[in-house]
Amino acid sequence: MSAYVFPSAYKGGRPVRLCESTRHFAMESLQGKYGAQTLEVPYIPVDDVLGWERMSDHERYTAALDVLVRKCPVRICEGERVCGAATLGAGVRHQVPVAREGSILWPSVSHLTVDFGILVREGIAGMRARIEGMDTSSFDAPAMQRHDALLRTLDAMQVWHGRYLEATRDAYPHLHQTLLRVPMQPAESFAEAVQSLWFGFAFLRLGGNWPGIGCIDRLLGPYLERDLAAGVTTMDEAREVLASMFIKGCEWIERDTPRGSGDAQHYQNIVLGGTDASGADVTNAVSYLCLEIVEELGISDFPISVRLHDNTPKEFLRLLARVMRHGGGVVAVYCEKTVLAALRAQGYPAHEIYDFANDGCWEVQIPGKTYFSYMPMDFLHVLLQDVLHVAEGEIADFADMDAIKFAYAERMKQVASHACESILDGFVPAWREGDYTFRLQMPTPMIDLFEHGCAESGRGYLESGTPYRVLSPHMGGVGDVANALSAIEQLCFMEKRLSVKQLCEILRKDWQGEEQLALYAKHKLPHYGNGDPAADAHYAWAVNAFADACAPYAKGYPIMFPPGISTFGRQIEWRAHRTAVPHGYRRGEILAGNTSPTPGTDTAGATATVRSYCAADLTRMTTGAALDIKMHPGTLEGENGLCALEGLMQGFCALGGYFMQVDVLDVQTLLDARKHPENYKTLSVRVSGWNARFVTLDDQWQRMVLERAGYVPGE
Amino acid sequence: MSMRVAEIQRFCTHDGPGLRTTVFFKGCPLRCVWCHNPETQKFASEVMFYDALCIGCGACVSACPTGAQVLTQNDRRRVVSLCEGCGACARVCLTEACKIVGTDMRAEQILAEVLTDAAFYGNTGGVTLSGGEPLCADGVIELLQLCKQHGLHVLVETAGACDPDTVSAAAPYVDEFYFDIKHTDAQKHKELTGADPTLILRNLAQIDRLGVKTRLRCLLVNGLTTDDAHFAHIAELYATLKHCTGVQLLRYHPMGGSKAAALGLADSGREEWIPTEAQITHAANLLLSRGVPVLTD
Ligand code: SF4
Ligand code: SF4
Ligand code: SF4
Repeated sequence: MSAYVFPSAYKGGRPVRLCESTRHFAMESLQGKYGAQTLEVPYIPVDDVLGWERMSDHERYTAALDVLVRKCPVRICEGERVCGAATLGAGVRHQVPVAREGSILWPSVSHLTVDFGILVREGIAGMRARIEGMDTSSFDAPAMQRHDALLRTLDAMQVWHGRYLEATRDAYPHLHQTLLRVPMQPAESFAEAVQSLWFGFAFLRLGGNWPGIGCIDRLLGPYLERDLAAGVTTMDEAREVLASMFIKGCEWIERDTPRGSGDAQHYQNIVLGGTDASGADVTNAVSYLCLEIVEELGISDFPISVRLHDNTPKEFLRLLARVMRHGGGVVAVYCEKTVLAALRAQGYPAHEIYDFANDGCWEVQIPGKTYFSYMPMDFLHVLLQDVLHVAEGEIADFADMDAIKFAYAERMKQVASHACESILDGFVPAWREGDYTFRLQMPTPMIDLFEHGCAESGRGYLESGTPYRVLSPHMGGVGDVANALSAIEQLCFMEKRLSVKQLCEILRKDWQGEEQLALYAKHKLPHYGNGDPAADAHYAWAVNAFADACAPYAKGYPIMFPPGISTFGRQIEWRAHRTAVPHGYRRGEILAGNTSPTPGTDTAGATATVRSYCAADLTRMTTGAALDIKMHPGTLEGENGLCALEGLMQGFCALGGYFMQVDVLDVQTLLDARKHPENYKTLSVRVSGWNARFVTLDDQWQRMVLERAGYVPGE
Repeated sequence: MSMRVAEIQRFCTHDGPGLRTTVFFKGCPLRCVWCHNPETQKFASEVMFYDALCIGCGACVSACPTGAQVLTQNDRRRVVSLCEGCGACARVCLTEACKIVGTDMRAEQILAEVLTDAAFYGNTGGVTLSGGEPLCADGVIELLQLCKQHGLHVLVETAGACDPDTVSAAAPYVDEFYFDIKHTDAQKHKELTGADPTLILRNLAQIDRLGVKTRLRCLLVNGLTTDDAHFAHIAELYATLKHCTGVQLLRYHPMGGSKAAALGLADSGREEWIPTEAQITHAANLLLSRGVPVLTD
């Protein structure tokens, strides 16, 4: 029996495998003990740096970093088995935690998965030797500044490492022993590899950055398997070490988070499983350990995505289903076949695509080689306003569906090209002259150390240093676009109840006086998400039309514009400018998120929703299209419940899905958590691409989660 | 030949192994006092009326050919005796306050619905025929044949009150029966379900002779089906069967009540019928002590 209970939606509770002190450490970390400490020191003042005025941006950055690593608090937690901590509060707020005259100097970097393998395999010493040995003869002065900044950043990491060596020498000999070798030298054992990885991760976060980790099993698995074969460690021991890393990853959890779109969204992604270039499954002992740890502790701070394929081991799928059943949305899945096909079609070289990870939510990228940014766009608004002119202007009439679709597709092209060109204008000032160099926004030498191409090119992560630069146009509102088109087709052209113009006039009046028709549209017409071929055809058409609209930008640029589908949480803010919709909803209602159905319209169950979602060619949505599925714990009890989750995942893959997040939610628990937030500090839910502790969501967001869980307001 | 289907439910995890699609047929010859699916008892289609969802628009009143829907300033009701189950009201009702139960479908149509989820069944899931009494549906054999032809795992939930010829004809196409035993005492069985159990037991024996796997299912209704003698007889019955995997104990839940109200019937649900945890454990132990496997999932 353990003294600590980690919340679960499954009435059978969570297994206990870790030792009591590790569980104690986890509970304290999850309840915000270390987050509170982190916030005590928001930043390090760097007013004393001499010669600041004469320095270049890069010199300032590394000079400030030098002060930061010498003055930041050093933290060693009781019970930890890996060392190093991101102890400055401004990092939690996405800023580089240094300030002059009380003002923060730089924002930090997120939405990327770096390659921590560089540090694990080379060590600081190896990285230094490689960078020092580089041929810089062709570098201009700015490139040399960046080159120097990399070496000074390595200096800073070394200084920080020295402080942990010092702090552990007497009191923590076991930690000290490991630190004597790593991360200075290449890791040789599993424990060293975990320490080295964690040290790099914590270092970047100390500097305020929010990196993802990516395919941790591919990186650490070989070390563990070697140690296991040599009898140097056991699975139980390895689990304790790795759990320490997961628990320390919660060190930014705050005791009293400001409520908003939720915490636990520092983009600390982990990707597991999948195949390599030979088609062989790569699942290894580390893949299992990661899932076992979150199965036991329910930690959601590292959003995990599993790459599923035809030969995903049965036991691994089973473990995955067990983790899902506890709720919290800790693990989501990719259908690897779809993702690989999408990346291939985008033109990524074949040898790169098997390494894919994501930006922290689910937008796919090649880790350690990609600059990523995305442009969210509300395509429901484009339909309602630009095509139908519901809100203002002269309402157009249309003779048939083809006319509407033609006008909409044309408008999509304009919107997509405007988005692509205006982001270029912002980031790449000289692109019209053929120069695709990004404008310098700020120095990023910490990141540059872990991104391939930066040291070699003398350019930073934000300055085209990486081999791939991705600006991804994102379609928002696709579920509602499908439902709107379906409703127009039914009402105006099949049943011929009224003309498109008349319908739009009604929408302009927010359905006033036409409540019956609104109800009819809401309840009696085919909707996306129920496996209805007619409604799904509109969805598939919209996805295709959007891909076509982005196609002119797909090739021929040194920057990629791969499309994707998302709203994340924007369906909440988008309410403000959206009008009433043809499928019966009024102005101001919260509509569909990501690629999911409009709330309240999906009545045929999860399998039908998956079938609808898979009706589009999702390989054309290169950066991804996320489907959120919410389930009640009662349907997932026992062996059958696990089989059902496995079946759901297998069907999702067989039908060509892209990314699916399953959350298991009990409305009663959520309602109770609203009443007594103090009892539910650690209850996490999948929000919209990330996890958040439910009690840190503000009222709107909590309602959204509740409604997706099947709660009908007023009941 | 078409069959009357009450509902097709997807993503079912309580009607057999794995992820399943369950087809609920309309019509049952028994009348269990605790019936939790009262909307499936009658063979004819009927309309359920959910008061709370009604906005009083009156559309159903104009649509109803028999005057069964009544709506005046201070009277809103449906006269069940006048209703012919034509479904006209449900078609015009915009709020789903009126819902028709009972759609006639051909075997191929049902199969097509079931196959849409084939990608999700994996190695364990499949289709479950339930009810009502699925073995009383005309054309059920044809449906079973079609399901088997398409490689589906087929499970039938039955209470066994059906034509023995249907049982024999169905058996070759069924992977497993979940067979309800309402009560083992003939007199009580008659009182509680309105039917004599002789035919039911004969059908069970026939299924076993034909070599099809069965699981016996016993609903625990406090005071009605919780006596020791009943479970002793269940153990004896189990011992006579060669292909029975065990007994599953189900807990009574008074959820038929809201459905009964929607059907215009008196609420037959009773809180005092809910069995206690101790009664369930006691029954399970009794069975186990007599060598009967007690199945949970
Ligand atoms: S056998 Fe089932 S459907 Fe028929 S009356 Fe009994 S409980 Fe109701
Ligand atoms: S089903 Fe037909 S007869 Fe019965 S109430 Fe509705 S419209 Fe009237
Ligand atoms: S049509 Fe529906 S909402 Fe209207 S009065 Fe009849 S039952 Fe009520």
